[in-house]
Amino acid sequence: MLTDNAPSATVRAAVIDTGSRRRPSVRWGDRLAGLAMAAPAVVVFVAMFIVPMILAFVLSLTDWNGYSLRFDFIGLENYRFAFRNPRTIDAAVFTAVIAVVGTILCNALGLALAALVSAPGRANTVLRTIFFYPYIISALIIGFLWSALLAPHGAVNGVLAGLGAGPVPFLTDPAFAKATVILTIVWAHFGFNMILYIAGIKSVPTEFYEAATVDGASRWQQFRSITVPMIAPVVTVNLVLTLVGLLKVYDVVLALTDGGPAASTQTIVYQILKDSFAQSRLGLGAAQSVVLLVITAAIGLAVTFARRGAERKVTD
Amino acid sequence: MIDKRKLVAVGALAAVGLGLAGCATGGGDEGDGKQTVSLLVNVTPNLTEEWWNDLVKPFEDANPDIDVTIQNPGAEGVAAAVPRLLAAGEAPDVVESLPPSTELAPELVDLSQYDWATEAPLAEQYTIDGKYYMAGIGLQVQSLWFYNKDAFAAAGITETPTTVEELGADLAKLKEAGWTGIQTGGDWMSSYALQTVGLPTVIADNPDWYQKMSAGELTFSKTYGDSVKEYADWIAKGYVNDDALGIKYTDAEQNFLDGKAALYPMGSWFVASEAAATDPANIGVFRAPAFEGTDQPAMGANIASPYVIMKESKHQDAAAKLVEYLVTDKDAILNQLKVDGNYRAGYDYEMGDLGTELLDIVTNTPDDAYTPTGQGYGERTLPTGYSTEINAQTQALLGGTSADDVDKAMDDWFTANVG
Repeated sequence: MLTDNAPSATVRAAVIDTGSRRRPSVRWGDRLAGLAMAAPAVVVFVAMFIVPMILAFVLSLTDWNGYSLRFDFIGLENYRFAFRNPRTIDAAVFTAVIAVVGTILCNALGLALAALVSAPGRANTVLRTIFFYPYIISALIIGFLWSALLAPHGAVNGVLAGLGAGPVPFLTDPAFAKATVILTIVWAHFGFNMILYIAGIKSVPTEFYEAATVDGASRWQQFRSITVPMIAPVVTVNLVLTLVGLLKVYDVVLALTDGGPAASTQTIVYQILKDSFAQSRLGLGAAQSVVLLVITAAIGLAVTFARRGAERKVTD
Repeated sequence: MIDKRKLVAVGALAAVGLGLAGCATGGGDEGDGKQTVSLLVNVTPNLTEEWWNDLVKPFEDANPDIDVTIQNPGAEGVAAAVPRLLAAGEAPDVVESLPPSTELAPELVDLSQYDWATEAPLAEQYTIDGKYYMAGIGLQVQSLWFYNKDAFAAAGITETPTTVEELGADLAKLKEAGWTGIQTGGDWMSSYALQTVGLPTVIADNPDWYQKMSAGELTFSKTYGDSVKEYADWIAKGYVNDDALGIKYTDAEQNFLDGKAALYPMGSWFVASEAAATDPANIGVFRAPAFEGTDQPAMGANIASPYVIMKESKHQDAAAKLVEYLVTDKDAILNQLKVDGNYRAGYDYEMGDLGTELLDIVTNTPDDAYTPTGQGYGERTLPTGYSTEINAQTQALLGGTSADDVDKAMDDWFTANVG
């Protein structure tokens, strides 16, 4: 049985000890200096995030078309339209599928590969580089690359034809195209998850593994009972970042399928940009952006709270 | 109506990430008393900046007090650049290739007082509330079937079809003769064939189709349903290239030029491609027919090189002079028509056999037969997004979705978007 009561108790005692002391008084001068140093960041945050958010919300209540500098306030009509427009609903559903399936695959793959290649060694270094490489390539390039490979007359179908197999409609059949988009995104993203997991795995004290080995635990038991619980905060970060990132997917879709065939691979951000600029309905685009922002924030918070229990086991 | 220019300008820039950088500023006054009129144009491989400067040079020579500055919107194109420039307070004086719409009309100068605007091609069709906001130089004709004459001969077809039913019968003969009937593709061009099949009848039967669809007084399935069914039938019978969804526009065009398909539904600009192609197939063109019983099939057409003057312009008189020159000077018109393969009755320029065939079609098509295609224009406009939706649904049709399901999807889309 694996136990780590001793270190945890020490940490707990230290926390209690710190908490029982009086906080040292901070001089006014130091406080002012702190505020002055924080001010630029706060100003930038407010100017670049809070103000645009408020303006986006205001725009979402208008019928602004991007041409005219005049507009009418139309209340919640843009929101009502977004929720009854079949195209927006389809895009939202596909985005949800990408987010859920992509998050599961990226994290499963990232964690599995991290466990395999986290140990030192030249081969592992090369493998880590290879796995991480797609993440640093521009999403547009990835989209165009796979588009060229998977097109009806692309390289993959060319090879299949050479082997006597029929062409696979990777990009021309809606179901295939959806799967292609998701797998391409996973291919481009899992390297990032892997790197975070490797960092997490390397932070686990080696004493735990040594003790487990002495106790006769197998590699799988060590991975399941030590590694996974100990990297719980990293799992949370990975889940939140991947989920939130995939809710905003756009560029890969643009380059790979351009939302087709039959609009089957349009994501919500693709739809927002199309409505805003191609259709000159910036008010509608802003409304959809606000909804996406709220959903993204809610999901991020929900995952963070849901993972609290697992993280507490590590930090307590 | 609320006028909150600064709020919107800042909001536009901050909230949706529009940049201020880009095009040059609008026109102005130079120190020597010259007025500078800015002309925002689409720059393409045919319409280079140099070509535009050469086009306006005779005007500048004749009007030494006016200097014309060509503005290139770059990759974003004119349609995307105009809102940005408006928001930045840097609107150009004149814009080319931006047809007026109900959204855009409040930003444009009413040209109704000028004969050169009211008598320009398709001027009436582009009016909004009876006002003329643009003047163009010619037509882009769209309801056309280009055909491979050798394929027709091989299939024993001696005359081009005059009804959709005859076209269907010819497609059967072509398939029997081993030809791919219709060459189409993915991208934006998927719906082109369906619209070429449908619009001549739909608009002939319902001249106010655009207005009535926008008002919710007609449904797609009841007006367009027969055409969707016919095209779905052609797809099912293998008359359309089976790799359509994976073919891009340029590849589709090249396939037809190479003689790999018998028919190619495309606009008049294809004539310029054919003229520039090396050893193209033996190609002819006929006007898209309607279903039997339709007296005068409608002909889809757009205005070529429409010019509008922005209300923000500080040199509206000089801008009007420039547009008058561009749409009335014979040399300027011919220059513009020729470079982009556009047409106008009475304006002949050196053209090949295919161009001559097409000019005959233009000459023999009465003005009232012309109709918008896709989204429409002027007062004949469908809800925003129609073009992309009909394209997506045509792709679904090509992917095997039934005609009934496509009709229902379009009806649902109109229900959500009308009113």
